[in-house]
Amino acid sequence: MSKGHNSPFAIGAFTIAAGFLIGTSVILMNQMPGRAVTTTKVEASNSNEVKTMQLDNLRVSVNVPERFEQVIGIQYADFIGTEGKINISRIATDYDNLVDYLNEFDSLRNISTEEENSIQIDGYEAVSRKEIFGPNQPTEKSYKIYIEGWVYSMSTSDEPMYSYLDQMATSFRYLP
Amino acid sequence: MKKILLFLLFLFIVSFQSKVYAADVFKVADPMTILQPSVTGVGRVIWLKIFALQHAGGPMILSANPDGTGDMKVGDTIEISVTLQGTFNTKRFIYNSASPCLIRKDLAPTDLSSYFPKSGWYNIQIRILDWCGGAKQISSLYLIGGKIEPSAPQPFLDLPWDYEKKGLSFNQALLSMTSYFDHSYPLLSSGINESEDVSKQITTFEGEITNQKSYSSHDGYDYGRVAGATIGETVLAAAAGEATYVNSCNACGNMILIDHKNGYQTRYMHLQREGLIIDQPGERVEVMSRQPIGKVGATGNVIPSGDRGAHLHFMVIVDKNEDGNFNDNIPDGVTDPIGWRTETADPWSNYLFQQAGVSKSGNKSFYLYKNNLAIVSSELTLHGGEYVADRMKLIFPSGAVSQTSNLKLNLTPINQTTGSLSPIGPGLKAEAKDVLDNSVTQFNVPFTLEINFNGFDTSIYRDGSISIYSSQDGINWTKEVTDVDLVAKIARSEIDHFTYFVLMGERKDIDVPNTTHQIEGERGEDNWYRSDITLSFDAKDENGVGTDYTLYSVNNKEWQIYSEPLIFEEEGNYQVDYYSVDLSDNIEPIKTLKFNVDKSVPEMKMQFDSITKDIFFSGIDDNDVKIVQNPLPHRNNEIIISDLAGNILKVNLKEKISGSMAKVILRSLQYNSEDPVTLPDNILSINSRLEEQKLENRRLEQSFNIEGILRIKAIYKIFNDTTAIETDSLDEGLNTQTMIGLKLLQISTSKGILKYTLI
Repeated sequence: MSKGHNSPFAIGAFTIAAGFLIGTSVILMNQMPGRAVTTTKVEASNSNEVKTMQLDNLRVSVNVPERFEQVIGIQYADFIGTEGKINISRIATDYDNLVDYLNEFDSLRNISTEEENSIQIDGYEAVSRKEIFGPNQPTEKSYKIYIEGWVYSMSTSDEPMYSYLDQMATSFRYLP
Repeated sequence: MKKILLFLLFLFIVSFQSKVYAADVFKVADPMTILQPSVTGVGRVIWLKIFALQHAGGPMILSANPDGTGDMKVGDTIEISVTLQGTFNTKRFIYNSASPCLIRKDLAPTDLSSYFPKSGWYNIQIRILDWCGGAKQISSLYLIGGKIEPSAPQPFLDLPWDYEKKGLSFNQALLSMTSYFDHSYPLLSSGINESEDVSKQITTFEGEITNQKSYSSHDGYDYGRVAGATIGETVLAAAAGEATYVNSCNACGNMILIDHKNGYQTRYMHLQREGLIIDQPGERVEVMSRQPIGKVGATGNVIPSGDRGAHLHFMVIVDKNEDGNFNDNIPDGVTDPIGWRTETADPWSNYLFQQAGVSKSGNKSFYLYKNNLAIVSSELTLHGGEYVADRMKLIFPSGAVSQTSNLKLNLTPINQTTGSLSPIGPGLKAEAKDVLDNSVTQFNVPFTLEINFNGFDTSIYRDGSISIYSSQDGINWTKEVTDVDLVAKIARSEIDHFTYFVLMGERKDIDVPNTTHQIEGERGEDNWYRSDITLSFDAKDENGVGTDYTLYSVNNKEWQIYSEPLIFEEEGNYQVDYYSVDLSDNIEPIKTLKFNVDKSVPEMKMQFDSITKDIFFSGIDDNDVKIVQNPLPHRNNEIIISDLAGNILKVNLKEKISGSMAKVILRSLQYNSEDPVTLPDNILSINSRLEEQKLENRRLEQSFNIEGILRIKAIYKIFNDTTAIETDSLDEGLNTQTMIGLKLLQISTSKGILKYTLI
């Protein structure tokens, strides 16, 4: 055995000692004043689990399936699954209520609607409905929520995404 | 031997290439210096390139830069030979940059379009020659085919209203548009229709394709209430330039156009008629940046119609053909001042269309605002750094974080305050996440937060009350130790935590102002006036910092800022709404004033009343009147007819009733306080014999005479139910006619004269 080789015993002792030192250091460092405090991100184990997404630019949070891809813009967010896409937008208006806004929305685009229901989401005036934009145009299921001069639109033209849209609308929270 | 060396050197210098290019930008040469052999050249070729390229059609430019700009160093002479493949027609371009040798002139960007007359493959040979000897500089050379993209201009615009006065940051105001510039495609002002597939959707500046936002084909941005561009708000020039006024576009309403003399024009639509910097088509005036040019209004086509639809349509146009005329660049010159903020291709930039038989293309959009779109998302390293978001600056010292983190700064409005605390400008939401996506909310050492509040009126806050506040949730606020420099208008705190921050002060004044009105005019009954009205407002802010402005609206029309007493000359019913705002932004609830102006004096009419068998007097007016009859001496009477506004007609008359006879002589008329008008001799006589026993004798005799002017007699006989009428007037002479039924003779006054009517 040459001098340059370590014995298995020596390697094991070194590993234990190193582990002890590192562990002690971590504990001591965490006890030092002024140490940056962090919160740990919880990883989802199930692809159908949802996470709460805070969309700062839109000032809202929604629960979104973890597996959805996200495209976050300045004024919109797209959530994309294998079944399709859900869009959330924030739209400034000159109207002081949702009904007047929708009247203009419908007449400007010459659309018809189905299954329109007045509801409340997060305590705000809202409507759920299907929007039929005309021949050769997709039908969109949408939620529209009026908050302080803004209309939040959550919509999808992909039918398999309807249940996810419902889920996201239910979880919608305004973050003033 | 020397000739062989020269030949080898020539071969070394000359690069024979035969490559094929298919892109729009063809790089022809890199910068180089060619060391010329000592022998003075006599048209010797010192650089050569032969290649083929596919041209898609359109212009072809030779330049030093790939954007079509930049003068070129081309040795002593450059020769370019161009041959369309399949033909023997070679065109040759030659430029001598050293003629004579001592004076060199670089080659400016050159339009070679005529050498590439159509799309297809071209063989090209470029030769650079030496005539003068010495070393030769050759710059980069590019051939740019097809459309040449413009280079980004220097940002020069401000948002055209005072959004900060409304407590909004630049970001908030800029992104509070109610209608977007539609990148697919902004054809609205051109009248060109979109294809059906894009007619209900828009593409926003960040590439979002949506049918949820307004509105397809829109070629500018609409800003309204949410952005602080409320009705009556002053519209400011987005940059200096020459302003003109246009009112020939019905949909645009009152429009100001500003030519900024940099190839860009801005347009401001739907402005109020009041407050325009110029209001005659053809007038021109130089304006400074942020100079008031008008007021936000609802003229032209706005939705909803009327004041509720008031907004500012703001659009930008590029003089693409550089002819000084912007109208001929609609739509191909309209551009999005927010630019195109995504990696994908801009549909408008690449749009090809026909307009009046001419092929045109869309326009490339650049971000044109001087203020940055302040959404900071950046790395915060162990070394610290400075990060700016609008008016906020965060200065992190070295070691603030233990590992590199991602920093996100977003401006946020702060609404939840208590008592007299009021935000000075928008707040800041600051977040950091480490590489494991864990939130970092506490820092090893404090960072410095600086908030610039220049431009805000600090006199409305209690002395010493201005401070930076922090919050974990944006609701519950903690006052931070703050150094406030009231001269530099900077507040500064040392803080070791995130998340929300805002500068706040305690307002001295939290009471709304009180506006009273005063009406001057001749008053009748409640709210009725019979003269021109002068309406003035007086706003008081008791114990406050003072009134900022008073707004009023007449008959639900546009809101105006009150500056001087209002005069109402026209008759009508008026509703005036008004309120005031103090310098502390306390807004008074709207007050409403209703009044009516009626300057018309009532008239009088008289006729036989078949029920009372008497002469009946009544008033003529658009509104209710009162009539009073006062006996005067000598069987004279005075009839006073007054309306709600207090306009009075006094009629002096003599009435005599005897048996079946009734007679009235009208003597004079007096309208309000004017001098009485003496009437010519006249008499209305009624002889009612309707009760006679014999049917053939039953009749009603009516006559009215104005001495020397008119004589009319109307006799109604019951047995044949006809009225025989005989008139003899100065104007028309004698006329007789018989009419079926009872016709009553009605005499009325009218502005000092007497008229008759048969009814």
